[in-house]
Amino acid sequence: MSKRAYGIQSPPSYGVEGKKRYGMVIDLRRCTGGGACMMACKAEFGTPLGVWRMWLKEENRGTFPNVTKTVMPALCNHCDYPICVRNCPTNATYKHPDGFVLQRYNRCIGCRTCAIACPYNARHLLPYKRTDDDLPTRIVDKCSFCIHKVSRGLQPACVSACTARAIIFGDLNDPDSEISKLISKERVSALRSDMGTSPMVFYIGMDGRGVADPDDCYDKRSAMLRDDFDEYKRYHKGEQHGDIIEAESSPLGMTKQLATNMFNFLVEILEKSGIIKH
Amino acid sequence: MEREIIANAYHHVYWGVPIAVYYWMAGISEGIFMIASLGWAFGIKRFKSISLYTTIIAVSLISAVQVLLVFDLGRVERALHLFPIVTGYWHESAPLAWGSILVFAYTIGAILYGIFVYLKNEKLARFFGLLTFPLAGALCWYTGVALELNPSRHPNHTGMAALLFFVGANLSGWGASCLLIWARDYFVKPENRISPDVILMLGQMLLIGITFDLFLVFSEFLQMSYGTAHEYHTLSIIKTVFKGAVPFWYMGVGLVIPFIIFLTPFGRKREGIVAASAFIVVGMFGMRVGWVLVGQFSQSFF
Repeated sequence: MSKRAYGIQSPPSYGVEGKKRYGMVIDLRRCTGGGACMMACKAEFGTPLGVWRMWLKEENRGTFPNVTKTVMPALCNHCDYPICVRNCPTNATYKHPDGFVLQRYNRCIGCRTCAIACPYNARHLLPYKRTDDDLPTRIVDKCSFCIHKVSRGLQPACVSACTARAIIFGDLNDPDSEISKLISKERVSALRSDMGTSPMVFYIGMDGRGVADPDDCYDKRSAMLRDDFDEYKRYHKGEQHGDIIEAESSPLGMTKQLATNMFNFLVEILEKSGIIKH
Repeated sequence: MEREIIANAYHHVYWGVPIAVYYWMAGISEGIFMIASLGWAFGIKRFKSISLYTTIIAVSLISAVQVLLVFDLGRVERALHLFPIVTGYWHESAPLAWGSILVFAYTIGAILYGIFVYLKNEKLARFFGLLTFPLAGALCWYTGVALELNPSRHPNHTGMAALLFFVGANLSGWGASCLLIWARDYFVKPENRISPDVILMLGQMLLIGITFDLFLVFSEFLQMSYGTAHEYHTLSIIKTVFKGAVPFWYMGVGLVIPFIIFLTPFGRKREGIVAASAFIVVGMFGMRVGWVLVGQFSQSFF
């Protein structure tokens, strides 16, 4: 339980009597990797291509023929001490008294400080163009625990969609809630608990290591995943002009990439000024 | 146990090359201003003749980086949200909230210093020079701290961040000052040229700065190689994906080559110091790229 409250609007509420603290438990023993949670979330919010409020991480463990597949859904952990909220310069991202970490779309300036601060890669920058003109653009967005549904007594989209009932959502401070009973009965763990963020998404069956932990995530990728990521960066350049293609990282290749990224940014300045069309 | 990660979302690097360029140019501006303030703020006579010229360059650079920063925002039209009073959204715990004020205050202070140097008003030039000098130093501190206050981003999360930036900024600024003085002397009459002692003095300062920076880099390398799995993972990325930016540009071009130049007889001459300065200014960009991009790149796989 976090006791830190500097820079966040509502103090940590996990274990505080009389306060709600919404959280999630993901049972990896039940998760089949179906992806219904990801798709339901995409459909609910019209999340653009290439970015995810919720996604699956998959890995193979063991040596043939003794191989197992681990699938781990990842999303914003709605931490009790969120670094993103503390570091946001405009109070655009804030902590709700019930524990949600939410985004004020009208205040966000798109500086991405919160995205840098997040240890879980939970945030993304929305693009210029959306499928619907009413949807926000060019600001940072992330999972909101479907507060618009939860405030009406419904479950988040991913929870409702999960066919294996692997995702359980509820009030961690309510001892009679299903989530509280699970946490008291099962062995749960959280991601990167050393970060001091007090994450409120717990995992059952993680056996002490999440998929893509720091000591494994870079070296243990399959060659196909590594090449795919490079290909993705070649053709889906982020608007932040920071993507580095691993296969072209010699001193000359790195210099070319830096120059290209900077040139693209200068073109973007002209687009943002209205001198040329986006 | 054998593990192979076969699927994950692809995460972008959020602060890219424009932010690295901002870090680089802000550091050069601050280092140049340190030299510009020596004449009128601290009364060192031999620097008085270059004060106005170097102040103008420092102000131009910091103004350009502010344009860069504003256009790097997703919502350019909301840039004023960063300042207190204007919209009431200012958040005091955020490093960027303080940094915005610092950059702006340093720019205004440097402009006022330049104006009073031009008007040859010693008293007010001294006042604004002494006021802006710590602001310039604080700007270096802030550029390191902005990324330092993210525990998830290695190698940024270190108490040495401010010092690394302070030393790097001064090295690149002093190097840029040498280049500016050399360029200026090319166009002015011989009687108006700066005394050769100024560049020789800057050369000595650069040598001390490089030695100290090499020591800091060595300390960081030790800490990461003896560190946690995450720190070691970041070090392996520096040695592979970012070998162009950090070992080659920063350490090789920015530190080792100038260090070798300074140790030779060529490095004690004006031309040698100017050559070393050029290497330092260019090489420091590699350090900024490494600082800004490596920590984000290393986490983009989680």
